[in-house]
Amino acid sequence: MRSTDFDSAVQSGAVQSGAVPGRPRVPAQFLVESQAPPGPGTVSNFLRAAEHLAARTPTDVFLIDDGVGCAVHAHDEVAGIVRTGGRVRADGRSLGERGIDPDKLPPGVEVADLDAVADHLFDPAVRVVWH
Amino acid sequence: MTDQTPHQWDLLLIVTNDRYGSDRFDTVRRLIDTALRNGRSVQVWACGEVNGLTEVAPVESCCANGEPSTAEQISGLVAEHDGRFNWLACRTCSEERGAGEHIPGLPTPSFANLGEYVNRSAKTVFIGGV
Repeated sequence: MRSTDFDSAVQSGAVQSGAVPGRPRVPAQFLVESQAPPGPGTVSNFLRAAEHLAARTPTDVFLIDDGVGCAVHAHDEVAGIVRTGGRVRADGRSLGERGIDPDKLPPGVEVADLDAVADHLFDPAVRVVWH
Repeated sequence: MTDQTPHQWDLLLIVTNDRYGSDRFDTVRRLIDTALRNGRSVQVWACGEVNGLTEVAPVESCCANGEPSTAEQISGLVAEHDGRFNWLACRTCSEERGAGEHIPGLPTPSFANLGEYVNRSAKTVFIGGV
């Protein structure tokens, strides 16, 4: 698939990935965004990469520390990850510390804590990238 | 080549950059606590500025609010969870920064030993990079 075709497929939601029905979802990669979202008019390349990965393989994203700001200020990228089949969770404590209302999160973004993602952190089969 | 070394540790957490040092040790502490609470074992390799966390302070550096200092927290965790938690103070990074002595009992491997610690762990995760 040419990259332009791939981008179109991602944007249209035609490319999907995710859990196999009846089996626990184990992502191929677990991407952690801990840094503040980029300034106005720019995009998070990390989250854009996550969107492309999510279209190809099961991908989980966890927003923690300043990264939870991406759920609000990089709304399009986060929504794109969910749309292409990725799972996005935001650390509840980080949200609370920054006064971010969970009701303001994009549809499909879940609030979770570290215990909820511990299996991904420790599973040798899951690749972790902490940004 | 397949690594045949039995893994003694579930996770090697390499922490670098002061972003996860003094400012946000809380996140590192949460990761450690999560590992221990879930029955896992974890070693933390302190890289770069993070080594300042375990330096012996010339003056008691306990927090103003009476909470234990970061060095005291780490020392306490090592003592309480022997065999399931360890903090590795990188000697190479410490020497490059002219750091003082680390709190007693911490291993101080050099950067040349990092591969050995990676091989002893089922998984390695690097956090704190920019």
